[in-house]
Amino acid sequence: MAALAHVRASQDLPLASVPRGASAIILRVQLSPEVARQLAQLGVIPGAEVVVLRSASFGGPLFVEIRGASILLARKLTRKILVRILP
Amino acid sequence: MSAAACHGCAAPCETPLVRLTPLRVALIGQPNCGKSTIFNFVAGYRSATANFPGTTVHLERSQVRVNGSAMELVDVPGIYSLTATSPVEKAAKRFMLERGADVIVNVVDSSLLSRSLELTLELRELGVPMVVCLNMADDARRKGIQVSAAQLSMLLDVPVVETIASRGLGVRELFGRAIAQENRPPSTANATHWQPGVEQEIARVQSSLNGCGSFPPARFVAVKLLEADEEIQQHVSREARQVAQQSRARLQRAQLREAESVIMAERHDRAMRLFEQSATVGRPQKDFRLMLDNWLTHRVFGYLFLLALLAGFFYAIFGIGRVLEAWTLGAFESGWTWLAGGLTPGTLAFAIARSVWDGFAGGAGIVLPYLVPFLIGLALLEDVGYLPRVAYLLDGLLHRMGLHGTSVVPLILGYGCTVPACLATRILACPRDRFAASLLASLVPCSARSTVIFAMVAFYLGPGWALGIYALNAVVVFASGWLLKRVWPETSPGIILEVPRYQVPSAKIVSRKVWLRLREFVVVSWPLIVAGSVILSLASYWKLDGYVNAALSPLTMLLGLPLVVGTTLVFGVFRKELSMVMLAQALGTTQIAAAMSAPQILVYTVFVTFYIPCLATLVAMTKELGGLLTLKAAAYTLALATALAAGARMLFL
Repeated sequence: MAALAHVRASQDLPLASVPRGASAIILRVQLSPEVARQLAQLGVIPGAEVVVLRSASFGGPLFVEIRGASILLARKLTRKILVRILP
Repeated sequence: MSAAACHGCAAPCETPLVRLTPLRVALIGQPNCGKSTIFNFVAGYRSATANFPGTTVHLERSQVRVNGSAMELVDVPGIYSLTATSPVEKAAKRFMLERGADVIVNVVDSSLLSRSLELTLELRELGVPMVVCLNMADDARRKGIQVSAAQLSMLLDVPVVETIASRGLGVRELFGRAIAQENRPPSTANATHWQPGVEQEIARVQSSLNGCGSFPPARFVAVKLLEADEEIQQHVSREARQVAQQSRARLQRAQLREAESVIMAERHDRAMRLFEQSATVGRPQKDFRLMLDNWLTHRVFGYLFLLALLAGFFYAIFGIGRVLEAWTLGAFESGWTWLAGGLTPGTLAFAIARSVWDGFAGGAGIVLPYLVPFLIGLALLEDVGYLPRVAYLLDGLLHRMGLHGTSVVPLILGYGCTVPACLATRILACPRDRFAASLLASLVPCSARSTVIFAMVAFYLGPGWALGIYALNAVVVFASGWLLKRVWPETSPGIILEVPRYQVPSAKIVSRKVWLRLREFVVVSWPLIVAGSVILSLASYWKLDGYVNAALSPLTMLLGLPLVVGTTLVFGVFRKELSMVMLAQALGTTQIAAAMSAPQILVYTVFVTFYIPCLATLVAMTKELGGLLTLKAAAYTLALATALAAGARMLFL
């Protein structure tokens, strides 16, 4: 995918920077225990695969797919979730 | 007494051998898996369903007969796990820990099986008899997921029944299995086997609980202690807490992450394994709903569609309502001419008869023509599942006003009725967000206030002016949020929300939902309108209304309104539509335009739209937020309404 060309596959980056349409593996969730727990309930935990479907205008949330479900994640949360893009 | 407190008490809490009360069956599952659909299928339409996580905000109970046996069915709000964060989840968890159910029916969205199984595993550890309901089997197949109920049942050692609740398929069998399962808890033999290191720590903590009490089971308590569950910690001995603390530390050292993460990962792995062992994933069928989402949540087209939809919605309601209003009022007016023939004007009997008639006419002619189409439209939008997409589109904008996308739920519900909107704030975890969302939702015009906007401003001044009021309202809501953000800064982490699939709305559910909300008007508001009409008529017959009007004259004079509208504003505190219907009564004509100028109608509507939320809302808000915050909210809205209406007067009058 052309959008992926500038991102090296082995690089770790925040979920917020993953281009739309790309899949990534969650490496770390650097958020408070309460928020991490809330995210974990929806499947956002290290090791899980996430697909970024799209992101909203006006700095709105990311629309992602995790374990078959569509989830909205606030942009500022996704800056604290480190992922590795899957080829 | 909480069941968790059983640890430490000597009294055993066993189920009685002879049943004196009906079997208590609880529907438990993750949000939007169809619990309420099943509940409604069996109990008739009692529980709210919507295509939005967190629609059921309290426990709904119903005595039902299924296959000839009586049972008490409980619809528990959706929870992702027994780790509770929001008040809704806490309520659901408390219910489970107090042993509220004899049998658990764990409803699972088959298309989200691997994630849903995490809750199943947790529930299983409660040791309560349970049945797993594989709901939405059709959706799973569409996604290419084939689940073997038999295989899953064998692995979990609980009965598993496939259902498609939206069509009622498998529901009877489900309850048949649930009844048969009474007093047959899942075996502990092949219970969740976790990796040896974790099992070892669980066993350690478990032994420190010295085996007293039978519910919740020691293993469940031990796992929860490893997760540092605050509620459970309060109910065990200090010694057990210390042992758990040591185990947590050991786990953290061994696995290089916090004990909670270890437990979560274990549950995740176990659920994944169960999924792989019981389901096959093939090629998904082409789903037009995914393509639909590409357009409806598009960066540009999504917003255009939202605007077009709102405008279309507005004009449709106005178009239908206006025709119906003119027709109904005409019919009531000629009815009155026919009826009034036998009465002498000026007598008490005449005044009472006229006011009763006007009360009915007001409800039928002014409120219903707009309320019915409005409720149908809102129910359709809710059922299709469009609202979470609105949350997605608007989150970024709302954020600048100190709200986040999840608060869009109460805000949108507020267009229907403010009371459920206030209740819906329970899905928000942070108290500050709950206050912000309740306050702003109470400013949004509910269906009653929309009726006033339609029947007054749109009808007499034209639809453009009514749209203007909605636009003004949106600006005020945003500005209020912005102001609140300055006074009470936002601390919440931001939106975390699951977006359900679109579904075709069912005529049955939509019509029942509309009726449920309409009944509220017919049973509560309409009689109030008639009673209010009679009271006002008696007051004016005995010349009492003058005192009220005189007391409110500073306000009415400030706003440049006729003095007689003073009393109607008092009635508006009970129900907002009441103000408008009473207005016809106070002015002595249903042709409002004959007694009030167009700018006066506008000023009046602006005031009614914003001032103090109605009594029912105040009660709901007091319950959710407490008296002080409710008082603040009421004072704010009153000041706001006065300022805006005075502003409108200066501009137009």
